[in-house]
Order: sequence, then C-alpha cells, then structure tokens
Amino acid sequence: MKTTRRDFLYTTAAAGGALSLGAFSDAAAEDRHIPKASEPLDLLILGGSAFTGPFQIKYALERGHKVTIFNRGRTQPTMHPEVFDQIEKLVGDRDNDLEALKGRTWDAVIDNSATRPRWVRQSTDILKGNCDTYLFTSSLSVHADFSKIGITEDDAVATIDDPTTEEITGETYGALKALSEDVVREAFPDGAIILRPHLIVGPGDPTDRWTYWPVRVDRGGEVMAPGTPNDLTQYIDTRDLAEFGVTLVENRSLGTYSGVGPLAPLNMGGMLYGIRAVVINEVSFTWVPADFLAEHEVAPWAHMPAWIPPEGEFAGFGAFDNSRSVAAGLKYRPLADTAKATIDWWKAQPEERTAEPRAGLAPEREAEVLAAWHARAEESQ
Amino acid sequence: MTTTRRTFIGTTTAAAGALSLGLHRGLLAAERPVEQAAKSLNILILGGTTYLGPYQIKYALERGHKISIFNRGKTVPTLYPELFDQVEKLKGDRENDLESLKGREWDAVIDNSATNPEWVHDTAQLLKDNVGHYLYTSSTGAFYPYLTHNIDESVEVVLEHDPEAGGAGTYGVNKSLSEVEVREAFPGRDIIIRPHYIIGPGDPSDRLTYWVARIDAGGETLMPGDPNTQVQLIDVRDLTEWMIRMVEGETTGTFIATGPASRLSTAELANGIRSIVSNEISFTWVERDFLIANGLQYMVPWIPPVDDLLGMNTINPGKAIAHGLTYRPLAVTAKDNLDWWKVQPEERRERMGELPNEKEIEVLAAWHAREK
Repeated sequence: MKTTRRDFLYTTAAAGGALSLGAFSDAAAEDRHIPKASEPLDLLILGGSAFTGPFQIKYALERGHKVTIFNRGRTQPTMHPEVFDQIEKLVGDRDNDLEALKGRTWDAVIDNSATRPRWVRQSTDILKGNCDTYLFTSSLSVHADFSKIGITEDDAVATIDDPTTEEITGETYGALKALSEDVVREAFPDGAIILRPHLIVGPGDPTDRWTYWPVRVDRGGEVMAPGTPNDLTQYIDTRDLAEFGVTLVENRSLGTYSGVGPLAPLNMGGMLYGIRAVVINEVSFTWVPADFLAEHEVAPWAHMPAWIPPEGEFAGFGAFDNSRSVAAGLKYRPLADTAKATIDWWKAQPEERTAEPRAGLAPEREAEVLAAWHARAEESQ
Repeated sequence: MTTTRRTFIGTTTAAAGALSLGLHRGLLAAERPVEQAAKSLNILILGGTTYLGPYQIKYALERGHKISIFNRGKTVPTLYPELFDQVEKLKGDRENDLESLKGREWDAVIDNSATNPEWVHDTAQLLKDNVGHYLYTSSTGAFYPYLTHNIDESVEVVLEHDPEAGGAGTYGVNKSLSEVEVREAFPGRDIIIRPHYIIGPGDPSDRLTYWVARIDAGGETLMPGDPNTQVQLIDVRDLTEWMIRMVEGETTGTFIATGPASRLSTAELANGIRSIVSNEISFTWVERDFLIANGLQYMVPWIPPVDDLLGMNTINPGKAIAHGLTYRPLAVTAKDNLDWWKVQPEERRERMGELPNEKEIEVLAAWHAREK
C-alpha cells in the first residue's frame, strides 16, 4: 500500500462534525407517497443526527418502523428536526460507553458512525445476540485500486501495515473501513449488510463539496469547469442512500453494496448542464484542461469537487459499477431534484455557515485561473 | 380488492409516472405568486383557445383583468378549460365576420391568430378608435433569411414576397406585413412581439415535447450535430405572462421574445432535460452532415446554423429582457412539458408514435456502421 494514498471520500472530522445552523425542511420529501412496509421493524441507528441519519429516520418512520438512535447527544439535528420527537434517544459513546445498548433487542441496527474497527467491535460484541441484521455504512474508499473502470463489490480492498492505528487520515481511512467491514461480517455471519457510499451529496451536506457546483452555477457568470465535459463523475444523493439502507434492512439483502449513482453514466458536462437547468441566470462554462489546472494548483476534488481526471490511478473513480445495488432496490432522484434541494438548503443557511465554504474554489482564485487560461488561449492564437 | 387496485393503477398512470421521477411540483415548479396589476384592464384576445390563449387568460385573470375572446367557437380548449367560464366569448371569423367586435371598447387587444396581413388590417382598422393598445403576436420568422448572428430589433425585415423564397420566406413576409398593418393603425400604441419557438405544456406541434418524451424513454439517444451549437426557445408561459405585463405598461414597439437569457447549447438543452429523469440513457452525437445525408435536416429546436438559417438560433433577446421578460428554469419547463405529455389521451400521443422512432434507430445504426 502506497503511503501517498490519497482519499477522496474521506472527510475530516472537523468538517463532518461541524454543525450547520438553521433548520431546513426538505420540501421534496413532503409530498411523496411512501407506502408502509409489510412488516414494521425495530431499528437502532448508531449516529443518526448528522447528514444521512435524519433522512433515514424520516423514511423509516414513514415506512412504519420504530427507530432508536444512539449517540453522544451532542449534535443538534438541523435536517428534519421534527422527526426526533418521534424516536427513542439513547445517549452514550461509540468509544467505551455502550451501556445504553445492553440488554436491548432490535430487528436491525444501522451503523453510520464508525470509522475505527475497535468501535465497530464494541458495538457488534454487544448487539450480535440481540439484533438479526447489522448494516454498516462503509465507503467506496475501501478499494485497493481505483484505476479500473467498473469496480464492483468483489474487487480487492486496501490493506494497512498497522491495523491497530486509530489515526484517521487520507491514508488510513479506506483500509480501516475495510477492516471494520470484516468485524461486522465476522460478528454477523448471517446478518451483515455492508453499504459503501460514493460521495454523499445533497441538502445538509456538512462538507460543501458537491454543494460547490449548484451554488456556483446558481451564482452565474463564467464558471470554470474542470477537464472535459466527457469526464465521468459519480455521487449519491443522501436521501437516496438513506432510503436504500432502509430498503436493504427491510429485505434483509445481506452482502456488500456500492452506493453510487446516478443510474446511468454521467459526465461532468451532463452534471453541470443538468444543474444549470434548475436555475435561471446568465451563466456560461469554460472547460479548462486538467494539466492547466494542475499547473495552477487547482486540485481535483478539493477545489473541483466530484471531478478527478479520468486517467491513471483514479481512472475509475467516476465509473463504479452500481448494478448490484440497483437490483437490490437503489432508486435515484433526478439530478434536478438533488441540485435544487441543495441550493434551497444552502440559501436557507445563516450567513456564518455559508461565508466560508469548506470545499471548492474561492471566487478570486477561480477568476485568476480563468484569466490565466484566457491569456494563454490568446497567446496561442 | 383486485378491482380497486387495478382501477387505482389504471387511473393514475400520470401520477405514478410523476412519482417514479421523484420530482415534486412543490420543489421544482416554484411558481411565483401572481400579483394583482395596478389597474384592472379590459382585454380582448383574438383567438384564445388553443395554446397561447389559455395561458394569457389564466395570468390575466390572476392579475385582475377582464377578458373577452373572439374566435369561431370551433376549438374546444383543453388547457385550463375551466377558465373559459370566466371570460366573455364573442363569435365571428377573422376571414369575413367581425360584427361582434363593432361598437365595443377595450384597453388592449392581443392578436394571436393571424398570419394573414389582410386579417390584421381588418381588425386593426376596426378597433383602432376603440382600443388602447394592439399587441400582435408576430414571430422571429420575420427575420428570415437569418444571414447574421446576434440579430436584434434593428435588423430590417423583408417586406416583399419572393416566389423563390419558399415556405419560411412566405411566412416571414406575411408576419412582417401584418406588423406594418398594426403600426399603421395604432401608431405609438403598437406592441409587436416576435417569439422564437414557443414550447412547453400544451404545445400542439410537439417540438420540445419530442425531446422530453424521447429522453424520458431512455436508451441510446441520437443527439444532433455539434453539442456546442446554440439553441433558442421560449416557454409558452414566460411569453404569455410577459405579454400581459406588456399591455399593462406604457411601453410600445417591437420586441424579440426568445430565451434563455444566456447562450444555451444543444448539450446543455439535452442534459438539462436529462436532469429531470432518472433512467438508463446515453447520448450519441451524430454529425450534421451525416444527419442531412440521412434525411434528418433538423430536430427543432436544433437547426444547423448554415446558409439562410445561419443566425436563426443566435437572436438577441436583450431588449425584451430589459423590458421585463423573465424565464422559468429549463428543468421546470421540461418537467411540466413531460408531465403534460404523459396525461394526453392515446389518440393525441399516437401522433408522435413509439419512441425511439424508426428513423432514429435507422440513422443510429448507419452511424455506428460508419464508425466501424
């Protein structure tokens, strides 16, 4: 394993734990008709208050399930805060305080919040006799090799020299998630579901990565678009992911799943032009080649979210295979829905939340690189 | 129970389709609340039942105006039929029966229904002393032939028929001559609107409807020409609502009505439509010359920008925007167009036929054969 392994799906704890102020009601979810599940379940969600959790809870309640959440009780939910009145809340800590889980039974547990194998082992030790199904939210970062087009659930995962490390970095994140998966498989030999999301996007995203694009396109003007319109991209709407997790648990679809979308291959042109369709403004896209961006220190992913030059080490990062998940019931909202919900959510945030986005390119930097690109294009004429 | 279930499925095809799209009207079709106009007007609409009319009526009523419509009484409205109980209906014929318009007064007349300069001459002359403003729905077709890019209202139009010019030429000259009739009868009180392709829910000519239905059908989809070629169009609601606001105001003159506000490429149109569906789809871009050689001259709104059509899709809407023309997002137009299409009766949908159609399948097969 290369020590320079960079991880694009891993998010720093700072970003992940940061609170967004201001509640946002996801209008899209309000007027859908969701049929009740044939069999109501008792669900335990480890975590549950951050990004995907509130959507899981909302959907699970709509399906007629009972929900218990377990967390430190520190994160004030901002998405669908109203659903938190309808659930049982257990307080504890993934790290050494699981008392509240002891002696309780649930049909299934959804583990959203573990990045360390030891945390997973602590919870599986307590829950393995008391739950039928354990869904572990892993990450597509587990894979060893991202150069392949069409990576499937069966492709190799990353390994780590020191499996006891608890330091979560871009180098260790994927391998530790892979080790955590194994802990779940061992503890629940007839009940493990491993769900590996790609970049999770949509309303409430604490990382501001994919959010950069709808917000940027909505601002209008000349938008710097990375690479070529044909470079493939992937992501998963947090609501699609949340609902798919509940679906897997309802059906006890045991096994490992890549949580990635959209349904059909989408390129950067398709994504940005699709986002443009939900706004109305003066906007144009200038596609700047990957090597020029590199020369000007514009980083794939961090500065140009959801984009990695489709060659070399990460050639397959926008081309994961989703067929197993689709067959198991993963449904996708249209891009327009994801984009619009993200913009609406962003605009409802208070100034202090949106003043300094946590990812993407600052407007001055974008203008600078665009100016350099135009100057170069003129020189070469 | 079985019967109930079947009934449910059978009668809610459209609703089920909309649900599976996962798009929600409350979210995307963020319709602005319509404000009352400062002053209630009496507006006469010539035509009014087919496509533009129902939207004009809906918006005008919401703005607090009173509406009379004048037509032969033969077209049964399918868009907002309930609104027609709230309007005065005058019967007659643009060709030879304007009796019911005589001796009446209106603040404004909107003429949607004429491509014949004589019709416009007759109504304009009849109404000029009893009506404040005359809004004539012309067309960017008046600019044919489109020999330059960035055509604006200062570009002179052809006013003489040329037997060699063909259908586009005849149509354009008739529109231009009709405009002249309005300007002569209503000097300083004329509002001439020249729309580009008018698209959206209810479009009788299936222009954008083909694209939204085709993209919704999914699979390998033929896309025409160069992805970067510009297209232009205007949502029927953006157009008609702006027309009502124009007759409310004091502004007169000639206005191009097209959109969107900034350049839209064919790829942006196609992917914008794709953004409202979630399906298995891919686009195959086929070169223009190949399409033409295979009998596909154009796929409205995509028009090859050459020869007499060079500037047809690069027309400048700046003046209209400066005078209050606003646009819905493409996703809203596309979604509403698709939702409307899905609830059309079978006999209406048959006009488009199965998608993809045989021509597309044939051209794609030929294109792939050529690639080998």
